[in-house]
Amino acid sequence: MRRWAPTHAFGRAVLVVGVLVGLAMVLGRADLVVLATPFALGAALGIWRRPSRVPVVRVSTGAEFVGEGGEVPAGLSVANPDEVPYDLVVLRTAISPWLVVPEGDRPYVTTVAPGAAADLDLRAHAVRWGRPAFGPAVAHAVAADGLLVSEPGMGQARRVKVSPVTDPFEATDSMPRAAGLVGAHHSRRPGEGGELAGVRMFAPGDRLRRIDWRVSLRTRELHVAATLSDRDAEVVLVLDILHEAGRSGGIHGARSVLDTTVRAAAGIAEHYLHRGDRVSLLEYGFRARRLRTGSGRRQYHTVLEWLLGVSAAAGGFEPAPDAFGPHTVSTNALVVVLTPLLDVRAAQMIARFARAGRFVVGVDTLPADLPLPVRRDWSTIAGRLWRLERTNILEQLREHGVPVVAWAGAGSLDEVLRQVSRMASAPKAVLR
Amino acid sequence: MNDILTRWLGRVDEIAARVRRTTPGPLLVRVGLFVSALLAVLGWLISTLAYGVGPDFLALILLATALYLVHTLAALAAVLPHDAVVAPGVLLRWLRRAGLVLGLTAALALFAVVVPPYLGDHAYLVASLLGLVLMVATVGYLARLVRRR
Repeated sequence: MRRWAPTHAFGRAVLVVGVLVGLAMVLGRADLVVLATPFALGAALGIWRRPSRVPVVRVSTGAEFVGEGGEVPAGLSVANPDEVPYDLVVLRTAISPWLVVPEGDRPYVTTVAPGAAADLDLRAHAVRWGRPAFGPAVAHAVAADGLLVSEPGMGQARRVKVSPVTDPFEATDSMPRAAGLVGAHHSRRPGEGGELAGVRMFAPGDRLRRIDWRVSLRTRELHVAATLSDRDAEVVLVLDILHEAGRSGGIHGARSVLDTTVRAAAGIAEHYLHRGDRVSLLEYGFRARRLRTGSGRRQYHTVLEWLLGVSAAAGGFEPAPDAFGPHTVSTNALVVVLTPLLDVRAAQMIARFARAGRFVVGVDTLPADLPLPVRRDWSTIAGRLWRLERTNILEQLREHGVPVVAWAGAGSLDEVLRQVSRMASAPKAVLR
Repeated sequence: MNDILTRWLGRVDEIAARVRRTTPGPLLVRVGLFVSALLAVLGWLISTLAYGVGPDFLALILLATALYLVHTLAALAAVLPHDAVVAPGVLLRWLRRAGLVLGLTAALALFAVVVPPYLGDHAYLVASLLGLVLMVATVGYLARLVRRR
């Protein structure tokens, strides 16, 4: 059973009664007893029926999964499990800065009858992707005319899943090696598909509805229309989360590196999954999280939920070599690396993928207007030197055969995807 | 000099922000508190020093009311955050409780002012007996409280 503690008012009441009654006895003044009476009566009436149980607090949220910019109904409930009413209850709740609740940072004060609960309904506006918390909430009850205050009752926080708003993304049909079984990309291999590849003799196993009757009647032998297969492709999105840079302003403000990375990843994944391709995600960071390959709408929801866990760990440690590397990616996959290239290790990682023969495209997620830190007189020169060095790294990657483009939404990757496709179909020298 | 100015300006900003966030409920409580304390002090000074006369029934009630309001509103102000959103029922309940206590006090004051002239020489005896009864009641009340704990 929790405790209730006396307030300063309790001590004040006892002191005033004691002093006034003492003076009344010494001086023989009945009016001093009258002055002490309300203090004594108020304390006696309040303490005679006092509660013994602390308030019970509950935090609730209406929606578990919303998009950035969406509204989340949230509620606080404080109940009185005792048989004696509380004079008042002061209710406070902590709210993540990425959930905007009008007047949510104010304490709320209400009365709660015994065995009843007081509910407070709020509406939260989610302004950034992630898992912002609503709560925990704390309530203190006051009883006996302010002479007793309870220990806090606490309600556990509830996390809301806020999915990133996907940057609209469209790309050309260019895919370096569509090696899957069934998909939307034209390939050069014969098989069931939509693109005609000519007419040939009927062979066992051919479908009867593929029979070309005009040619068959002319040649008096069965001929069928041959097609090229439509295949799907595998796209691996590698997210560089070694470092975070820039200050996120939520959906209505400035973007940080992670904001751009996550929203771009969501947009690219949505595009390829919508076309029937298979998408997997890989984190280039200490935890080296991996989302296995999948396709369809279900994979898209899984991708959105996976992206909520993206965060830059302090220290910028690389993943273990056996947990991350070209060996973890299929040879036919298109690897799209989303990186701000703040760390030279990220460029080395990209180069390793390229040397291992993977089809790699780099997406630069560093905001163009990112302000560099200013320290005294050398900041401007140091900043320019750093940018020159970074440009040098980008050129070196291009020489390695890895095109890197800045993220700009739809059409960002069209040119580089065409380049990669051309490189994939070009003849390669092989040692025999 | 700049640092001192910056600190002062920071304090002014803090006070301005506090004033902007203050809501009517707690502000009324604090204003009531201040006015009650002022009335108590002024009344007592005027009646005991300026005229040298003990308070009559009305003055006694007013003084007791002012002192008790100071006490109970201070207790309310202590638990009410300055920027809280307060449900109206909170203040009404508090004032209703204070009204009940003051009503009972007024009844006792009437008894204390009206009855003694009728007791004549037996006033001290009656007062002693009443005091004894009060002490017994207090001890019994406290004992009951401790046993319930």
